[in-house]
Amino acid sequence: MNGLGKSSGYIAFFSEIGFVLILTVLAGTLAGYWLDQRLGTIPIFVLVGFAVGGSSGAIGCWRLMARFLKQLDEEDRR
Amino acid sequence: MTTDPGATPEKVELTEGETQPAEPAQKRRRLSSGRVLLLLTLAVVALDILAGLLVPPFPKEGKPGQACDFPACFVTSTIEMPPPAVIVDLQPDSAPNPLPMIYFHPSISSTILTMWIVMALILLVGFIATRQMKLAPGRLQNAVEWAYEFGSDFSAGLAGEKSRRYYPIFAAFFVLILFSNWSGLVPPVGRIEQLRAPTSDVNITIGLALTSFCIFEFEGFRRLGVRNYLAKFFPVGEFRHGVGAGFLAMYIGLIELFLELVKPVTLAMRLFGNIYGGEVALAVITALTVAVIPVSIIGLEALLNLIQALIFSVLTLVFIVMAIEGHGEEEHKPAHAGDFAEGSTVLEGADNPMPEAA
Repeated sequence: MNGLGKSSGYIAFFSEIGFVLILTVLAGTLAGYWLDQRLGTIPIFVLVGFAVGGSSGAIGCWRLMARFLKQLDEEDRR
Repeated sequence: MTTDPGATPEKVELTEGETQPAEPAQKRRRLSSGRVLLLLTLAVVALDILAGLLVPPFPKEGKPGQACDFPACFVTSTIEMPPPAVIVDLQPDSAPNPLPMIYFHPSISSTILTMWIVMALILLVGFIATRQMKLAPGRLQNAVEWAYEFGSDFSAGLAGEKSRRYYPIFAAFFVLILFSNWSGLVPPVGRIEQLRAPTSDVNITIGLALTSFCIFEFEGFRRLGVRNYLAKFFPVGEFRHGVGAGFLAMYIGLIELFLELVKPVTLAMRLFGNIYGGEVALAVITALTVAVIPVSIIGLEALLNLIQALIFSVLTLVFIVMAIEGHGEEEHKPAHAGDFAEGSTVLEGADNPMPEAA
């Protein structure tokens, strides 16, 4: 059970990474597209949205990884 | 004996003496239990085939006895569509038709009803287990106490010591989601219109994710204070270090805000996708095969449902810890936007003034 629990904890972290990457890029790009359509400025905000979404995803992943690695360090120290 | 230097002669004699006479009896027992298992399996297969012949599947909107073509109709008659059935419509005049996947309409759906049943059962067990608490615990109290302590150590191992005080939230989410997921594997659930696994409905998972979101945001505000917590997303104070640094910090604040809003979406979609996907896979396999294969898939599903419940509750716990850790970063390291990465490391560093939960 403990092994399964630990594995599921790791799955949680790694699946979150995948979801964060996909959703941030998708949400940023779609929001940019929506704004562009309203303002008639295609493709400026699509690109801006993609950049914001992509960088958000990257930073979000980095933060999750940092949290995860910190936990591993703590476990090693114990 | 001589090949294993670690084993003492007494030990070997003892094991030999014990195992040798018991071996034929064990073999016989294994054979008879294997035969019983085989007979049971054959009986289940026979029952399944007999049931299929006596009560054949019929189209979803049709009546019993109506003709049903083999693969297509067999599959569509067992599959559940994403929107749940409405049991009690509280506002029949404005009912959406057809029902979309996500909807805001005051009604009691099959998934809400099943969730209430699951909640009632959990509360009942909780009530019975805690009704007569004693210093020297009985069997049930002992089991519940052991599970609680085990879970507490487990969550602290995954999310750190700070997460111990939030363990009841983790446990509540875990138990509710676990039994909601498992309820879908109990035969009448999903087979009759009134009952359906709650987490196979995206409206329920969105509700759960929003509850989780409210908890970790509330904890963030409570532990950091409104000003400090909002400074994480709108770091206007960074303009003191120059206009460029201020704008960069605002951009990163915007990204932080965006990431914060993505959290409930990922929680809801992951849970819904996995549980609904599992239900569909199970329905298709049940429709196309006989007894034995669906049973093995149900075993696999039970394990996957457990993992999904753990993932949701572990992530809720981690998000709470991340929210309350934020202030260490904001207060002690008003970092320049450029060294964001370093600032984040400090955030998770040891100079957090927050008291550690015991």
